[in-house]
Amino acid sequence: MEIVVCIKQVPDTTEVKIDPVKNTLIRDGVPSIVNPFDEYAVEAAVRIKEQYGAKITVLTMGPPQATSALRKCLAMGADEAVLVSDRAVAGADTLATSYTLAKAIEKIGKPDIIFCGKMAIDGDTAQVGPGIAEHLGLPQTTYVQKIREVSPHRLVVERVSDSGHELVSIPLPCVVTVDKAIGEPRYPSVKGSINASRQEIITWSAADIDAPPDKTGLNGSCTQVMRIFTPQIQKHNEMLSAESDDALCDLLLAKLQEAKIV
Amino acid sequence: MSVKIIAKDCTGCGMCLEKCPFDAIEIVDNIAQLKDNCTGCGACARACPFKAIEVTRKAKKSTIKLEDYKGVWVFIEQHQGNIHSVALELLSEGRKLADALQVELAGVLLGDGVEHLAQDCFAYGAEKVYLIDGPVFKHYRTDSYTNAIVEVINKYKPEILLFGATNNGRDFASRIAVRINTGLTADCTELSIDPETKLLQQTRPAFGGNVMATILCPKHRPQMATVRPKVMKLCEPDYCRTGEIIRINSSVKEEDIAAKILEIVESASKTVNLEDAEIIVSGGRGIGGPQNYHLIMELAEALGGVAGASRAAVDAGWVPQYRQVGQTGKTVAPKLYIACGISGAIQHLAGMQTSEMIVAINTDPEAPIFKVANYGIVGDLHKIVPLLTAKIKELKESQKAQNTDKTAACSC
Amino acid sequence: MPTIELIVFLIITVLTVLLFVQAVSKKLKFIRLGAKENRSDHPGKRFANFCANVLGQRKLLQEPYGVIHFFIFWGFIFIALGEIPFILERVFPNITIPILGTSPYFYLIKEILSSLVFIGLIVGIVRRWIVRPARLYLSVEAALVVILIYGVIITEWLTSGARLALMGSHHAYSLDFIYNLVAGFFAGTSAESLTTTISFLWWIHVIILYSFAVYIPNSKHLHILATPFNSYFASLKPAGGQIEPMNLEDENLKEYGVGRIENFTWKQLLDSFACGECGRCMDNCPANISGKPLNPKELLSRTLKDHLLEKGAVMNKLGISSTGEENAEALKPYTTGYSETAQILNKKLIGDIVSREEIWSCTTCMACQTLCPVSNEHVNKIIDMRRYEVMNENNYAHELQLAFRNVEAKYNPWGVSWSERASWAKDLGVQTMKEAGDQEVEYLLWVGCAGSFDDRAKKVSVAIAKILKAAGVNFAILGREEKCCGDFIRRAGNEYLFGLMVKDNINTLNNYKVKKIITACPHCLNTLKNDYPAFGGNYEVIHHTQFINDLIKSGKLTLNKNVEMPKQKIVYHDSCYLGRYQQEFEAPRALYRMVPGVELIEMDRNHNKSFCCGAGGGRMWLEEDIGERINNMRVDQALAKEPQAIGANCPYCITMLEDGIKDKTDAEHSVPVIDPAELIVKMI
Repeated sequence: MEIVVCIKQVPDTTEVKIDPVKNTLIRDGVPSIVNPFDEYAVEAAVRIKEQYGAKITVLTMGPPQATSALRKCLAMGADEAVLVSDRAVAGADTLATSYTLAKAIEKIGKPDIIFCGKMAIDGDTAQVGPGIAEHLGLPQTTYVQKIREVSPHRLVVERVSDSGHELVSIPLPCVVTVDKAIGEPRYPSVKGSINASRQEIITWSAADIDAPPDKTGLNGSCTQVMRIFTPQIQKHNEMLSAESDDALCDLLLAKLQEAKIV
Repeated sequence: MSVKIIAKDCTGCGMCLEKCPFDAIEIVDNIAQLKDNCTGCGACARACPFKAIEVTRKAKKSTIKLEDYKGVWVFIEQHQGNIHSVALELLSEGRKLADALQVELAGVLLGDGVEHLAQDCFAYGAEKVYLIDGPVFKHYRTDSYTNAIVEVINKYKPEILLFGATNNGRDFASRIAVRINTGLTADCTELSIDPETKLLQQTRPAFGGNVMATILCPKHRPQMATVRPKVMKLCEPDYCRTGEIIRINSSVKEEDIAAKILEIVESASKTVNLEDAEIIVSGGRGIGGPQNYHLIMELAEALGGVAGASRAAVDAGWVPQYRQVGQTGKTVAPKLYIACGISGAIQHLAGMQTSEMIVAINTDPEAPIFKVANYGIVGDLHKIVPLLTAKIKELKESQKAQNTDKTAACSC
Repeated sequence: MPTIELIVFLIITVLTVLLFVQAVSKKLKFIRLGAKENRSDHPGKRFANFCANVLGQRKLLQEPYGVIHFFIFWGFIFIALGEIPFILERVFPNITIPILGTSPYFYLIKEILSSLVFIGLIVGIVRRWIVRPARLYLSVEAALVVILIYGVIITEWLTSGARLALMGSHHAYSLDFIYNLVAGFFAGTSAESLTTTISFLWWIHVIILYSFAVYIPNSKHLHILATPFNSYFASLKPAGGQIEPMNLEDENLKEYGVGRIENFTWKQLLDSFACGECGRCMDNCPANISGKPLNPKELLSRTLKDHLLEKGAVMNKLGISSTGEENAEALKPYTTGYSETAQILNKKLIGDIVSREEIWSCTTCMACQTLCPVSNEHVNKIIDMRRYEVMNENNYAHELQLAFRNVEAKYNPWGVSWSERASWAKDLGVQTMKEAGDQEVEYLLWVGCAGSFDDRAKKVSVAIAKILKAAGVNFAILGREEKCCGDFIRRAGNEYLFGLMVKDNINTLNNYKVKKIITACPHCLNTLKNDYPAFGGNYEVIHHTQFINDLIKSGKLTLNKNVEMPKQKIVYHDSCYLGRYQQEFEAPRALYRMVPGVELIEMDRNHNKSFCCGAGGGRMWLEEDIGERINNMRVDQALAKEPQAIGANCPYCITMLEDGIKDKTDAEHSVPVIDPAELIVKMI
């Protein structure tokens, strides 16, 4: 079985802080990590590999530094890593990104399963997985929490719905995006990490994957960012006080309602 | 690239560096240079005091005629004949957009025997409902829904198309956008119409909510967006309103659909899984003993969440180990974390610090937990927690009652 | 000597030498199975070590009963020297051996020492068989050796005494009070019967002596032979810097750490033979005392040695001696089937021989090694085995994995947001190296993860910063650029991740041209000072208690002695990594003594025998579920002295002791744990 896992290197958004004075992002040295959801996708692939045997290729698009993210995936158990890196693919929206990745997948071969994380934490779009499926004309199933059966021509998976889950049978080849419930990503073994650090990463340009410049990067994008601003969110750190416990509870409840939690 | 630095005007002042949200500019030999990760957002150009940065907004070429596309559409997500509340929120919001553009608001309703839901769409502001009804649409499936909607879009050409950012909405909106070659903005929290260009301004959080981005889709139609549930305000429904139902004969056939749904499992309550819980109520040493842990459990249940515990409570043998949150227990990041009687040792904070909202209840005003808490209450949890539980139950009862009122039919 | 006797003598002498050499070379063959390691550099330093530890019996003399061993050791040397004239003078009646055969003073000293050995052994017998501390085992071996020694001493006295009686007088024996005593005993016996007696006793003596010589290399008393070498070859590095870096760039390196006995170095194997089973290690090992499966004495002298003897014998028989990957391959053909050979070869060092609980029980407190009189190196063996488990087998506790993950992602083991590292210093006006820019900064204050993120330790950081500012020290912190120093990562066996941290930190430090570092944490101190040099980071590193002490001594910081301070008894806890590792016991104590109203008292276990808090060597991040909690035991020891506070100088210790106090006392009787900096800061 051939598996491709699409991953993304993202800034660790939990480490991106707002400068309280200048109200700008402090991004000095923010660590780059593998998008956490993509780690689940790699985990899903590695589990299939362990149980049924498979060759796993991890694929990403990004600057040359993204190789470190690919190496992490190799350390987790992927066999090969491909980086699409080219100025022409930079600044892409989800449409152009999914096009570029789809072209790269076509060059990799004819994988049986293409795994993606359900979304990336820096963009939160969840659009690239289905986009790849559409570009490649493959069926898709998203938000998968469990892979129940793997056969040469079909997968049976549990897909999370808003009210529970549904059991979906999907023919191969297909695109699967996974949710966290699929299983905790393994911490790569030290041996795996050392071996991965020595492995060669295949790097392709836009021309290598036959992607014309008008379909990739900023030029291939339909949307454009008009404005980016930092919201005036104040981190609340407030001690609630009231005359009675009863009033205190009401106060808290009001805060929870305000935050749309209750 | 669409951002260009005019070297002769650049003084290397570095103003642009500060404004770049992506750290994509560097100063080399006193002249700003763009790095590979420039997204062309243009934040730098606005910051440049010397007009040394030029942004050319050259979006993807398009062959369509923009003026052919009219009207605001909302995908009406339903599940077993019940409308998903996000669809009603979107109709409420869509009404405003349609008014701003002086166009019609329509709902796109797919399902099997769901015509009666059109009434709800009208009540929340739609003038039209495109109804695609048939057994093949009984359950949401990517292929059937995508194919059917693409047919309607191609035929009726809406200008704006909105989806709830639910699992299903996100699942097929992206496929539709790719198929008809248009832009799609995910998970928006704010929509508005630019009074001049009449373009849809789609604002959404990025970078884990640290920044907001406003996104346009200038040259392609429809302008598509998924919108985060519970963000847009519901308007007051008016069940006296009516509208036109346009029945669509879809060409979608069962045999064209690759994925099969074998079973639908409705989970009555979410499983006791701390890591996935959206709300967690935890008890620590302050609960005083195993006999009081039920207070924590009851509050968690009332909130629809899961009960956790600190290491102190687990070590004391009051609470089983699998409920432990912290360095050596589970790492959690719920929307709401209520820490009751937990002092907030670093090993506990390590497991819950990324929670969206933290509420702490503790008798000790000096407890370190208050430093990370968004809301702190100094008080006795044995009194406050049961009181809070009662109040939440009461509130939920009244909300339920209200909801049933809203679905009432037109009284006129 | 009659020819027939001479022939018999020569035969048994040759036989004894052969048996001795055979026994020793057999042991050498086992040691040779180990991996290569250069321990022959700096012969001068090594010889000095040898003199201090072997000839000077340095470590033994640090204990009250050690003096017995001192006299036994020197007694043996003189007895052995005395054997030379004793034997040769009879075999070759015409020769004279200078000094040994002629000097009355030699015989005087020999006899004083021999008598002390004689008495010393009686005390030893009483200690072993009657009083018996738990660390000393009873054994037939020990009994046999005592009998042989008495045999050697007594028969020599009797023979020489009889000879003196026969000769009437002998210049060399003139001061030998025992020979003269024995000669007096034989006075009046006929020359003929004296000659027969001498001959008989001489032969008995030679037989006992030769039996002893053959017995030693075959028994635990091999340590008599192995220790001098072990001391000579002992590591010359400081206690905290003996972990060998691994060359992870080496693509041929396919096995990490030690998972097979023969992958230990020859020196590590020699340790087992040098062990004299004195048990000082187990008496001071917090793991052993708290009921965990690790017993350092058992591990070296029994577990590892027995396995080496068993597996080594098979390997030697098969003629496979190389270590490393080839060896594993070469042994493979013999590992199938159910033969005894296969069963022995299939035993896994970790799991079958040494349990995982044993290797993870170690807190790397260094008590065993510091107190070991024969220079054994226990700790790096345990770390080598941990390396195998972590790096090779990926088999280790989940909690530890989480700490590794956190360091990887957030550069601190708690996983607290990396960008918050300098938050503790927000309102103190402490500059970061980055902010200092081109300004000259003399000292870097290395805050450490605990000092940066742990609320309790942050208070110490604040106190240190305030003191440094008050003394006008030109210092800065790294702030967000500081990353976990890697101490616990390395000691938990993850050399790979340690390497990544070291590389980043050294880059940062060298980039700012840092030369002098003050640390708030003894673990950071040890790692920066002793681990980093091998990776290209050479700094002058000093602990904050040492530095503050220096500031006061040099007059740069004057303390206001009139500050109102509560009268309190503070019992001081030596942290392992400042105490045993750096041998710094005085600086923190001196600081407490400067505080008015403080009476500093000691626990029973202090200085080199201080008892670990339980957090070192990665134990901080592991659950402790076997035996009693080490921190609780230490708190008991402290509370037994009824103090008003406990003094400590390490953030780990402070956390562990405070946790123990919470467990052991209620709020009313609670006792605070205080770093000296927290008291000193009130006096500026």
